[in-house]
Amino acid sequence: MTLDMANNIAINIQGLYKSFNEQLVLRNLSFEAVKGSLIHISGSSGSGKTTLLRCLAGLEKIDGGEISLFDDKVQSKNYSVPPVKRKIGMVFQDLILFPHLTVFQNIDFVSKAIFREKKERKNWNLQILQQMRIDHKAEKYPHEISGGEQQRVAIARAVAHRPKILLLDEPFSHLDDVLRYEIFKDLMSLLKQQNITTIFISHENANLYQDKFIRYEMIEGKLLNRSIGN
Amino acid sequence: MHSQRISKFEIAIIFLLLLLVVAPILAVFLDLINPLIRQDISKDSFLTETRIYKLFAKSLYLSFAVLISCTIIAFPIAWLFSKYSFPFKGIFATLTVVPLFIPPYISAISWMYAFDSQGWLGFPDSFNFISGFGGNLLVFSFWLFPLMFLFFHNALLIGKPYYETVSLYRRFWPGIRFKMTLMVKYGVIPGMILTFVLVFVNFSVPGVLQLNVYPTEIFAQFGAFYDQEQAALLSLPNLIIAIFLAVFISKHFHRQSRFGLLNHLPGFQTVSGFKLIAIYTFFIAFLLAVIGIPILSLVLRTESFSTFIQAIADTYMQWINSLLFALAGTLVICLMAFLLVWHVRHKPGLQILSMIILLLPMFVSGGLYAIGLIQVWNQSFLGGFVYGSSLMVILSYFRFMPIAFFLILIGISKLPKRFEEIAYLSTGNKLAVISKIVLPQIKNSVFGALSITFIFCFAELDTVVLTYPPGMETIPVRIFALLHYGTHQTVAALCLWQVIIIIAIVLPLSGLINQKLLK
Repeated sequence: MTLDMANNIAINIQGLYKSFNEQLVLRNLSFEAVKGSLIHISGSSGSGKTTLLRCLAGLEKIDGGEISLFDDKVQSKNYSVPPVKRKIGMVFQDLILFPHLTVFQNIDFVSKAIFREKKERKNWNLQILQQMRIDHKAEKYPHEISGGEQQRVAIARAVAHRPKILLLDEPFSHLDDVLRYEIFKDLMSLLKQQNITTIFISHENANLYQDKFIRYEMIEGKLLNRSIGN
Repeated sequence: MHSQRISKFEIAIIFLLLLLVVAPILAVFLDLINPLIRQDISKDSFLTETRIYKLFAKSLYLSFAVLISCTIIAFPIAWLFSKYSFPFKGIFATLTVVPLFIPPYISAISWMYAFDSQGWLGFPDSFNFISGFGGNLLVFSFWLFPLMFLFFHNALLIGKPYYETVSLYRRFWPGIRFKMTLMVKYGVIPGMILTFVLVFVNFSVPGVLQLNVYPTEIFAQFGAFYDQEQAALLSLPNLIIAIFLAVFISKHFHRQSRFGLLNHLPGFQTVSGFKLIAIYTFFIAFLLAVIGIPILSLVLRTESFSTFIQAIADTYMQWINSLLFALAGTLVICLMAFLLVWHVRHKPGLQILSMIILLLPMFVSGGLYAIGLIQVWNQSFLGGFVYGSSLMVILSYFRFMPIAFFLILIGISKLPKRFEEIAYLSTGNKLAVISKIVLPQIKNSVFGALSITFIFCFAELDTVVLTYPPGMETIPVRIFALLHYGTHQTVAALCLWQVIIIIAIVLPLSGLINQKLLK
């Protein structure tokens, strides 16, 4: 690896092990992603995709190996940088929108991390909401908007603190193909603009998503079949 | 499958609910209107005495103190259960919930026996803290912490993905504040309200542990001085608080459904080594204090095995009464609760109203509910058909209908309506749909509702002590009477029997408790 390439690495995982109740979920997993790249990981249910994202976000302890983000070690067996310091945005499969906050407040909760000044923050929140075409629902609560709109809010919230890495855990699994494609297009334009390294997992193959993905398949806790998309 | 029109069947259920549950409370207060208009009461009313306000303040203070102490006890235990997996977790979970089912007056009696001058942990009378505020705080806390534990545990488990999301965007302390807001708002407020109310309206524990509080005053006005008007007047604040809290809790139950929209629950961390030893030591010491001390106190005060046997021989009629009344009450209450749940399932708009109606009798004091029952059913045209008959005892148990209602509602709300619709399309018979499709799938909830309602009916004292017909004394009433005659060996033996019976009912429920806690 040349020095230039090394400086360009956003995610570096070496020999990662993770088990639950003595069942090995991730086995000696190694993986690298360069800054600004779009990674798609597919794989069957239970293959370890979600666990990998949770380890990257710092939501799980690991049993072995090492995770580095932008050349800084963030996790090993006995060391862990708290999730909030990793500058990661995440969209969970269940979206996890805070039910007691409006759409705007959900975004505001996250953007507070980068904007102290209220007016500046408000403008930024509205900008993100506009980009995800959900600004007209800003004052609604999550249970008052549709599934597709909730999905848009979850994505907007995940990028509202300008993360360096975005993790998407089957974010479109509940949507039909048309809506999925629409939201995906908006997401892509947002990612290009902010140059965020993105890992996107789904259990199906990524034929639907026509952007430049680096594709992996997770089989029994290992990443295989690397291929460059169209 | 269901029209939006209200059917005759539904009208019948609503009428029964109004007659059996709401009418007694309304009757008490309607009876106050005339004297209040004539201003007969206000001249020398109890409401003008500062003593009454002091009692009211003391009850509020005690309720808040219990709420805080239950939170302090329950939260760490719930946190342990929601985070870690360890051997024998199921047994510890069951034992942690057991104190909730032991009637509070038995707990009060046993702690009194442990700490009085003859007790095995005895203090001289001048240092005895158990008869007073401290004792009440201890007994109520040990009775109700499992309730708070169940709510905290549920909030921690269901809310885990929310708390994880917070940790991505907030540092430790600001994150904790936000997580606490979420947990309280969507998880534990109903538990807090229930804990508060159950202390605020209880008279048996302060009665045993000699603390004069607001419910004991209401009971004394009616039970000792036969002054119904004063008792009703004193209960007015209770009713206002009850209505306010019932509305609040019902809305929260509704709101809570937004919090549990998740498909999966996160796993537990396995514990070993020093952490495991620390957890075991904590649980064994804690359970010994909460369950061990009261039971040991009762055993020691019973003194001999012959007293233990003789106690049951002397009171076999009261045991039969108690068991039969509790059985009949449980069946009627659970049947009505099921019908109401079924009705609410298909007309969700009525859910909040039904909950408020059901919660009212539980949220006003038992003594007040008894006065209302007597007022409604002591009618000359009915002869002795209801008043003066065993029906009065069964009607007294209707206070516990919310327990059956909530347990069945939680069970049935997890069952997709598609099951019923498919079954109804093929059979066209609602009864077959209920008996063959719905009931088998919610059998755990129904079994839980039956068992827990039975335990509460079996141990009911606050209302039945005023409504039981002559010669039809129940065991709790007998214990309460014997306690005042000073026959402590027999009281201890009877309490012990009651605890044994309750534990025998709770143990088969352990599978259900574990399924809920350890999934």
